[in-house]
Amino acid sequence: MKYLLAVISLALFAAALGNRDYPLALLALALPAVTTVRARLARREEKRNAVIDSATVIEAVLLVWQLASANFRLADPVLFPPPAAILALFFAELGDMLRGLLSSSYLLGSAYGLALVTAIPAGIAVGSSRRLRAAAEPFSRVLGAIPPIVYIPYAIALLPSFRSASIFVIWSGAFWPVFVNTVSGVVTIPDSLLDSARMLHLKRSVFFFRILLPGAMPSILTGASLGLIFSFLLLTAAELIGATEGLGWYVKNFSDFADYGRVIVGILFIGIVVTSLMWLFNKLERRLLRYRRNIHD
Amino acid sequence: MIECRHIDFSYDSKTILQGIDLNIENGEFLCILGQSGCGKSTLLRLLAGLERPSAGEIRIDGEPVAGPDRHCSVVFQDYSLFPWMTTGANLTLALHAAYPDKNRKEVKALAESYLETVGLGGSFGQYPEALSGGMRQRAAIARALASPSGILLMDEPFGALDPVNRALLQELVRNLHRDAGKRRTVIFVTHDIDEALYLGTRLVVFSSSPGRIIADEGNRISRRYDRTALFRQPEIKALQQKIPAVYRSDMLERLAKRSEVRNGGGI
Repeated sequence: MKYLLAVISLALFAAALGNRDYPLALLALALPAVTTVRARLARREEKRNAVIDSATVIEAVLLVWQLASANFRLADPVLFPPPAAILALFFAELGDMLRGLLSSSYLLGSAYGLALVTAIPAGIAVGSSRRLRAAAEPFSRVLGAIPPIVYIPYAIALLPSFRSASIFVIWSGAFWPVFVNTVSGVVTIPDSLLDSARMLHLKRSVFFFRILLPGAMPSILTGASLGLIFSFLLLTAAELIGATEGLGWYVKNFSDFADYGRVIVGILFIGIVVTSLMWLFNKLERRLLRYRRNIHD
Repeated sequence: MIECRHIDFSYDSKTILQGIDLNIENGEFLCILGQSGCGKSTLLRLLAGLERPSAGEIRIDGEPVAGPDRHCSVVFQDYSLFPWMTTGANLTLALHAAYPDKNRKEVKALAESYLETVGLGGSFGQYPEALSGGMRQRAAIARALASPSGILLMDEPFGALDPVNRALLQELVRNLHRDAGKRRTVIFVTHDIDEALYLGTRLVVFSSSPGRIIADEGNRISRRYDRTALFRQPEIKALQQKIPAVYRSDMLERLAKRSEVRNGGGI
């Protein structure tokens, strides 16, 4: 794979140079360079291979794209602007997109935060009472199964602003996975641990924060990560429908003007944002579950 | 002093314990012997106040047990320690709950001294997952000792340990009990007869389904000898013979009863 990466990178470098796309040529060489360093740093063979493989795929896609759109002009330039143009556009649009990110983060942050703050305590309460669990089950089954996207038009009609409507929709998408996983997290805490805790005569708040919450944490995090993905899905869906700013709106707006260069740039940017967010989430997860490091690493 | 009067316990209309009468003096080391499913762990849960008896009454020092009892601390076979806290935090959690007036520093020092007692000095900052099974049980015992209760309830605490660790921990518990004198009562559930003979100053044998007491033997000599010498004593040898015989005759009796019922129903 190492040699394949080198060959493809050089081909892309040549293709970019031939078309006087100097930044792209630079990128063609920078990517294998970075990859080599990362592969050196990787401790496990598996990880090393993965780094090289994914770089090879990226270089190959860029090469095909470059050849088709720039060197041989086979593709429609409106639908497939050449990579060099996208690269330039990406940096030119970065300011606007960051502003969009700010607006989207506000929506996502408040709705997702609200979902965590409501779903985790509710899930712990329901999880620790057999009776509440039996009462809540049919609701979570039916309501949790409704795709929250269907609420969007009604929420827009019902709630005073687009902002509140989208917060509601994102909240309802993130709530159920977090809630259901919190409940099952509490239920799966071993009985002897709960009995041990009961014998210690802890205060209610201590019992909640030091026993139930951390006991359910592995499952809560599974739910929270699902909830985060759903939130992002619903955020962009809501913005496609009614927003005047934000990342989803950015993509939708420029596709209305058939400005597909900016559409691609927007999609790439969203990809980068989601990836960074999930990376941060995984860091947090590792930190919160560090006590299990010995068995899972 | 623990008094159990005519304890019955049923669950899902199945009788688990029937007519348990048992008085336990302060400072006793009582081993409850019985086969799996005989309700010996259930009795422990009743004593701890984690379950309520269907009939009868349990009193500790004259007070009826209602809800998780302050006189008792528990060590289970597994999962006693909270895995998301370090060993030290497991102890300080219990200590803070037991002594709300003590400050952080005092509690930490106390926790460290209890860990020292069970031979775990230096593992304050380690997570239970990083400890071996034997060390984990040591830490669980330390946490149980840390609560000011005088009664230590142990539910097959060494059942999952390898023979070496098992012997070491038996030694530890035996010494802890000996050094505490009348201040600490231990009730220890096991199905290992030799373990019960080595640890217990008194042995109670349970029959299976429903659990009843079928033998109640004092074992006063158990503290006078070390392990090898103890098992050479004629009294201990006699008990080694007697307890399995009690099991056998109880089983035969129940089989006879069952066939009687069957025959009676047939005629």
